[in-house]
Amino acid sequence: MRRLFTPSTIVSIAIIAAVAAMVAVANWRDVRRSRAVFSRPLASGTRGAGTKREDLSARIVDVRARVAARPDDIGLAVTLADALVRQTRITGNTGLAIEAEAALTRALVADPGNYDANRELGSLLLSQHRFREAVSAGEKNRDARPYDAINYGIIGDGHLELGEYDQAFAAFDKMMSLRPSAASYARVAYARELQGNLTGAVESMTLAADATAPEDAEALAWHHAQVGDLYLRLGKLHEADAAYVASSHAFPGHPFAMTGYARLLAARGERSSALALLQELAKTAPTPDLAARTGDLLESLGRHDEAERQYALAESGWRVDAPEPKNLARFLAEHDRKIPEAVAIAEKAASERRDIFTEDALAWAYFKAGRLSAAREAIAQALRTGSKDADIHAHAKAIEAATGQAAAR
Amino acid sequence: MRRPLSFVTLLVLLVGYAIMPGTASSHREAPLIGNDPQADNTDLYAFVSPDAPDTVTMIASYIPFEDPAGGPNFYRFGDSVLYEIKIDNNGDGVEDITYQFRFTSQVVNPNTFLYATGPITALDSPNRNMYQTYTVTRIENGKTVFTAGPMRTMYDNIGPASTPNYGGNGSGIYEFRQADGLVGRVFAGQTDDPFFLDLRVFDLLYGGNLSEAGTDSLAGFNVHSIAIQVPKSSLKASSPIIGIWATASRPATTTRASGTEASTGSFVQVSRLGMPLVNEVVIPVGQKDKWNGSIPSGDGQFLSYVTDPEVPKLLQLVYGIQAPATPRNDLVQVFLTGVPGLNQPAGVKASEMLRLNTDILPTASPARLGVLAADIQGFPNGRRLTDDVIDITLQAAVGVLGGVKTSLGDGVDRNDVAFRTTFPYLAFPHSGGNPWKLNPNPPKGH
Repeated sequence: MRRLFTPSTIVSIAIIAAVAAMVAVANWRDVRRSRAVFSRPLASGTRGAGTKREDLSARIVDVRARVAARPDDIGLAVTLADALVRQTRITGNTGLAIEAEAALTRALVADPGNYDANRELGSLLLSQHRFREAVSAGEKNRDARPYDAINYGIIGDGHLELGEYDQAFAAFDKMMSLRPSAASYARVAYARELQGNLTGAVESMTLAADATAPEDAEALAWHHAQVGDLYLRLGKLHEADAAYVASSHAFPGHPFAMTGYARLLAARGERSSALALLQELAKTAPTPDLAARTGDLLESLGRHDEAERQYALAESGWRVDAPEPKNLARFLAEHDRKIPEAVAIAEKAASERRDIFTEDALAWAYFKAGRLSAAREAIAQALRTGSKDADIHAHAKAIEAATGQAAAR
Repeated sequence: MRRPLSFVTLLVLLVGYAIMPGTASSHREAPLIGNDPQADNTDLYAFVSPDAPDTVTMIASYIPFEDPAGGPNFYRFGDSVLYEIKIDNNGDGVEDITYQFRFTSQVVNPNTFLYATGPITALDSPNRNMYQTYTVTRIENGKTVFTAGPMRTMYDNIGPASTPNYGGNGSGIYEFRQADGLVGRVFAGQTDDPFFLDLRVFDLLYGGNLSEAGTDSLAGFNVHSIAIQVPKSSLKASSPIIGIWATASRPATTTRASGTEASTGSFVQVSRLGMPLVNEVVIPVGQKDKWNGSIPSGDGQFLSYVTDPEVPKLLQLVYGIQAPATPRNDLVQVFLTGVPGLNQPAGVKASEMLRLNTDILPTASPARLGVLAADIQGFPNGRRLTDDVIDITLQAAVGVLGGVKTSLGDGVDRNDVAFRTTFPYLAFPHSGGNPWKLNPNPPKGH
């Protein structure tokens, strides 16, 4: 039998510990991390941190309890925040982002320079639609580790949502030049889509799906669903169908796949089936957006009263959806409800960000308020990237037609 | 009562799916942090083939920690990944010969996600619903000299029902004729993970339990491996010493692709591997992204991590063990230039790669400590499957090459399963039908 502590074992253990210490110290040297013994952060979708529905839920329960016991353990806080960000996406529960931020902030008190935590915080700020802060956080982290492509993703996402497209696209191109990955392919795909290049978007989003780890079921489902949405926009229903099926296979019932598939069914004229799918989704991931979509389907089926109930749900939901006021503005305008309020909300949103969807909401609110020249100005901004978004173009067409009529009078 | 067609209904009839608003309601939040196992090169081996000493075998493995029962998303090589094994045969740090491997996924029946629609009893069995074909291309000084294929990857070891008599129904080994008329052999597909170590050496400061050292963390896991065996004469130039490293690259796409044209730019290297443990132990955390995109001829920028390493300094600081004097030229030889008289080419430019003297013939009974045990056919002269690189590297770190006596190690001395004696030498993959393999850290004795 081998004795546990011979002199050579002790030296071995010392060496082994020193090797590990070197890795940790190198990290510490870079960002002045704490010397305390903490857990290593575990990113969702990596080994031991699967992102199937049950894996995510179980991890959140487990890590939440451990964070409560060790609120200063920064690795645990990062792990929890990362899992909560993923959970937000599949439940639509934005309150989880607040919990994630609280955990990170608490842990950062002892070690404000911790790189992993600050990077996670950047992505969390995006989740909360605090885009300007996300850009600053991303820039700070980029200065700490200029070769980490993730930081350019955070910077680019922030600029993109603020409508600063040149800066956003430059950040995505830099991200790609550092490391082509699922994350960078997906961002390039969205940039292409925003510029009206749907074929190129499909190409890059397909690469994103191909580059996603099989353990990361949620991300895999997300990328496949995006491919489906793009095919749907191109009118390629067969290809869209296959992409949604692949998405559901990876992560049964992923909200993006279900919503997309419902749209596909509606496009095929199977509106009752589409409705059933959305109602099923409402059981696990109810959102104002889902209620509005459900309302539209009900309306199209002639079930006016039920549609009205869904619209009321959507409106009340969006009233508390602080990060996205433009959604409420757009909804109110779309459904001819409280137009003056829609204008006020959209104007406030546009004072903070000038992305094409906020401009579109503003244009449509102005249009419904009869303020044609303001509507024309805003819709021109919404069209500035060359996006082929069907709603923006429908609004532009209506505004143009009304302008023509006004001129003819 | 029949209601008149509403505006919305009309709109549905006119524009179909576009009626559902809110598609652009929320920002995309594409997943940001993830890993890329298909492009994650776990290990590289290069040795003079024991049963064919006029050839060299090179093996590169990818996709760490494959769970043998990992369905339904079974593992495969990346269709969009460019896999390369590069050879520098004149010591200048630049590749003279490159073997490229490109994979393409194929599906027999697109209406099912099943890997097998019945027992697979041959590589080309119609029951093998999902498979990959691949090509091998040889490039010399930037010019393609031949492409072989398409060939099929060896199928995964799903379990006795889907893949009965695994290994007895086709080997996945193909022969190909090079432009020089010589014949090479190639294999690509799932295998046992040939590396063996206690991974907790990298994790102990984060709360590991030191008393458990000695367990092979990789026991029971599979990887995907590419193995190629070619005549020595088609690899070496005037010197018998060749430098070898493997890379994985992905194509870059750009945001500004115009119009409806899909445009894919050049390949960007996302992983690089020559000597084992360099990325894990030598390169600091904050430099890893830079390292993975770097090329050997620029390795001067990382030199200080080798000449002035942290490990021995920490030993002295924390445990009072005397650190060898710096600069550590002994480590520079191991990692960057090769050892003089063994595997250092004349006029070598310091650059990190696996250096193999192809003139040294195979030993009948390889020693696990390689050169440290006077078995000069082994690591750090190339790397054989059985070489215990963790123990060798730990011993080198405390100065064994400078005469320090030590018997350091991680307590794991050999792979969990025996290697094969013929090409591709790797053990068969663990079967998905073996339940204990699900345990990432099986108890000792397995």
